[in-house]
Amino acid sequence: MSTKIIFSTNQKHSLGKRRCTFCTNQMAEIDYKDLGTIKHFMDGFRRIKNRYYTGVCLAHQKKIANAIKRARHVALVPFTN
Amino acid sequence: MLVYQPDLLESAKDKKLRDFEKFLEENGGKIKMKDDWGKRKLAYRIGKHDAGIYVVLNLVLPPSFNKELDEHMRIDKDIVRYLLTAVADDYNYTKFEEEKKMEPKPEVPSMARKPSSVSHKASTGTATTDVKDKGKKADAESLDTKLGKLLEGGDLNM
Repeated sequence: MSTKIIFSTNQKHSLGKRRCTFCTNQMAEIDYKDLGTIKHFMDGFRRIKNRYYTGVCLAHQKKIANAIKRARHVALVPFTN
Repeated sequence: MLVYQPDLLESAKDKKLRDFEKFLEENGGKIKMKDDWGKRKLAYRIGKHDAGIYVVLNLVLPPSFNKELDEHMRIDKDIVRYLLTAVADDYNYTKFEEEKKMEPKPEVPSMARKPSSVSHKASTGTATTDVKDKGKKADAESLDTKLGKLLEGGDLNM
């Protein structure tokens, strides 16, 4: 939670090869309480962003989805906007 | 994580947490870490509550105790929502207040944008007429002196 991560918004076009932000920052787990990280992976309607847009590897995408669903359950994050 | 109903008083909440700890200790569990987030607005309405009191607990439990604890939290009327998850052994948690301190303060918009653009133009040695026009808006004298210095420097470089 304490590490600072730089999220590139347009990974697909800015980098030649797509790289997972969590793999490069060596973050194994994604916490549902870490709202600063979670908000980067939700769109304007508060839906979970597709892997096509997040540019994250499959393992981490699943962890993100899990974290967002947990955060929704305890009302830290809305289901819809 | 526990979410208590917002009308709960501070003393009542403390008593609730003490009872909760007692209940855990009776069943062979213990509280490793406790973090009180305080009252916080809910992202959506739950029942008739718009806000909730968030408490994060890090517990050590005997493996067979999960179901009983789940039932205990479910029955409690003051608990609006709860979430019980497993974490890794090397789980690193930064407390709520510390995280607040770490957050960067909103940046003050820098005022140097206009002069810097002018100086940049001056250093390149082009569009002197533009600079004069802008100088009228800002402090004309100070800009002129600055320009003069910059132009001198440019000549030396040439």
